[in-house]
Amino acid sequence: MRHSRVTLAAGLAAAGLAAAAWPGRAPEAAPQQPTEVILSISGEAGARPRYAVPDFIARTADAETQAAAALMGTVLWDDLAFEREFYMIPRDTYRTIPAARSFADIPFDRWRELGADGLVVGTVERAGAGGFRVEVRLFDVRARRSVVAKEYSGSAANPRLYAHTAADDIHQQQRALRGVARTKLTFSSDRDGERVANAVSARDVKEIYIADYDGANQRRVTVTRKLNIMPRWSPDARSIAYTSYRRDFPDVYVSQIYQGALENPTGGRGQNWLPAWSPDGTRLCFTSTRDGNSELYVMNRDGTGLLRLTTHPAIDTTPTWSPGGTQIAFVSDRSGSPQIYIVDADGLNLRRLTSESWCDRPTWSPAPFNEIAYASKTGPGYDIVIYDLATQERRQLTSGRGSNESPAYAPNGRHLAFMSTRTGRTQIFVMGRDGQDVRQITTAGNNYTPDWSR
Amino acid sequence: MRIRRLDSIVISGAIAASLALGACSAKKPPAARPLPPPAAATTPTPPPAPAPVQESPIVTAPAVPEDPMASRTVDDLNRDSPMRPAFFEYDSAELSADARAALDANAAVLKKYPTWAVTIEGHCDERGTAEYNLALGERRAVAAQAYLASLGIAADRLKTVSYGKEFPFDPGHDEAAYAKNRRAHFVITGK
Amino acid sequence: MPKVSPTEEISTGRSGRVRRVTSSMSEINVVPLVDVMLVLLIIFMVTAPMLQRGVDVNLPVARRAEAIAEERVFLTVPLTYRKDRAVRLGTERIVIDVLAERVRQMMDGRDDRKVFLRGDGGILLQELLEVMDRLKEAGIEQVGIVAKLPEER
Repeated sequence: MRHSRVTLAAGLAAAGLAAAAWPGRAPEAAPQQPTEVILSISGEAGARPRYAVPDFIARTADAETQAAAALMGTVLWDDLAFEREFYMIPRDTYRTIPAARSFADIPFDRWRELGADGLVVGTVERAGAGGFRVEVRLFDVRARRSVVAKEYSGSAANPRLYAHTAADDIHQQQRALRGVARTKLTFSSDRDGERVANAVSARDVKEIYIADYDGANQRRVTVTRKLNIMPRWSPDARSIAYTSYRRDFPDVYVSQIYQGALENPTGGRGQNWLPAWSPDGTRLCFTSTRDGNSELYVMNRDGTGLLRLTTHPAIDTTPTWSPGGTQIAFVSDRSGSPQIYIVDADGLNLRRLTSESWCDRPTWSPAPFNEIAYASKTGPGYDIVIYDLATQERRQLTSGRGSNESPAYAPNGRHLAFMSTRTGRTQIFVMGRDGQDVRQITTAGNNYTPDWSR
Repeated sequence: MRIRRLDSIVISGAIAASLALGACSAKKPPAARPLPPPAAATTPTPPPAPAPVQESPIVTAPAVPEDPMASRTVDDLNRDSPMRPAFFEYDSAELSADARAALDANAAVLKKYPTWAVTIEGHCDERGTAEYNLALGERRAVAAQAYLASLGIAADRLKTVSYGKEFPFDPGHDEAAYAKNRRAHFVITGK
Repeated sequence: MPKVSPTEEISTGRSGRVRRVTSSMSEINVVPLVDVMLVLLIIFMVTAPMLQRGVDVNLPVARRAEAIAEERVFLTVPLTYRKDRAVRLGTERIVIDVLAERVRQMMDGRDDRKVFLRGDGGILLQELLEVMDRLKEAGIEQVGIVAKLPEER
């Protein structure tokens, strides 16, 4: 049996973005027994294992603990459903089954009757001032034994984070899958209804926002009352590079969101936009007009080591790095219309990928997939298309409902975030890489150009 | 600074307007003979003119300027700009005859006021993608800049900035709106 | 082209546009048709291997019969249902309360939303409809009622 302790700090609680402590992802505790046997729950032949996640058990009677216990159950269910590895038994069918009061009195017969192969039971109790201690166990319902047991403790400020962490642990342990429950989205939004200061005509500002992968905890990162667009997470998910007009022309800025520090690596030389992080986070590729035309450049994160990547009188823009950092895909209209090209990171070996009406915002998938997602003009609007680099096959994920643009891969490559006008205004959505399971993330104002943290 | 200056302009405008109104009502004759409208009446009256303000000791200095442009602030100028936008075709930064005519007129203005500096904003319609449109807008602004430079306007008076499709002038979703949004837009930044 | 059948008219009516399609078959959308209707299939059985599944029930008799070839989902409603409100899905005993969810689980990953109902001949129609209600809740589109030939024992 696996039993490990992980400490969480649910930082970023209320508003304090700047100095909030955030230890990043809770580090996976080293297994205590070197010869650990991983027990995995299997379903019936040919079927996914069926999981049930009832409300967690509140071991402390106060209202906050009870609310957190119910919330954790719901969030964990959603997290496990998101990867579609398990058949998640709907929570409204649990009501006939008596709730357990501890790990000792779980009515396994009743859960088996409902068809559950796996049952996740959690307990929540107060630990110190403003803290929780959460225990989560995954039971094999047939064998009536626990196959995953985890204990977490930390702040009570963000109960969802316990559920997210447990979901990632269960996916990792049961399916060797990197879950995305603790990843975050960033996007730009005009939801505040603020207007650009001193502008001649009425111009809505756009500010950078972040949110959990499921749309919870949406928070504003920039406060400039200017245009801030096209944010990209650094690979360590602690910084966001974006294009800001805070000095009334587009320039590349990097916000270290948990320190509240701001960097401007391009330093206002020419107009610079659309930064893209190298996979190791040391370099940025971006578009600049510093030599009079939109070209691609690579520079170190601190602004040193500038390298010009393209030299063509046409537009070269919207770069994305390959997962290994050896190649860059980008958009150029050198053929007459915007198409996607690939070039080695040293500027050599240029080749064309697409021949469509209009392609933009290529996004290279993480391993193990080897594909590039982009927006392709399919009518009046755009749709999200995936190009498989190995088979050279093209697969359209959305079909014609509104305009669908700016795809961004989840770190495990199984999902994409994108923006769509399908509900009227422009909003952020996520979907599976098969185009199924579309979920709307934002509702307030208009929201643009998402990116998914690594 | 700019805000304060704006305030005083608005207040003095209000005083002028309310004075004009007061004058009107004072010497309104009983006969309903249509008067030739006084010049002040045609100036846009600000919404309800606050009555107490007219006790202000500030004397509005009319001092009829020889050129109305010279006395206006940059913000005023941009609100009712003497500079004309140049419009473009879909996914194009080529200057049409109309665009050239607009730029010729702008060049004349810039030659008449040699101290003025302008920023040329490149804008696009919403049919392009947000990312590519940044580059396209820049290309449009640069096209206008190059044309003005060829007419002898010093390049250091002409800054360019691209807003892609981020700031549409017409929020509509039809060709009429798109046509308005594909433009090189001139903003006066100094005089 | 064949003339449009009444069911097709109903389906277009549901989508808000009541109109008669006269010529082109290409307009008929089969998906909502299948989607919303609980179609009753009366399947007449020839062979008896079904009897090996689950509990033994006294199937109703029908004179015309067809064989059921593929691997199907069988739901048995024995006479004891009246007392314990439990049916058999395959061989497993399931109380009616969780039947809808269990059938939904069984259909996960399957293309055909079809269940064959093996009701005891002595089961009331009311009782059978209770069970079929749960099947409908589970998203089953077609229910076949299994019978046997008169000479079968």
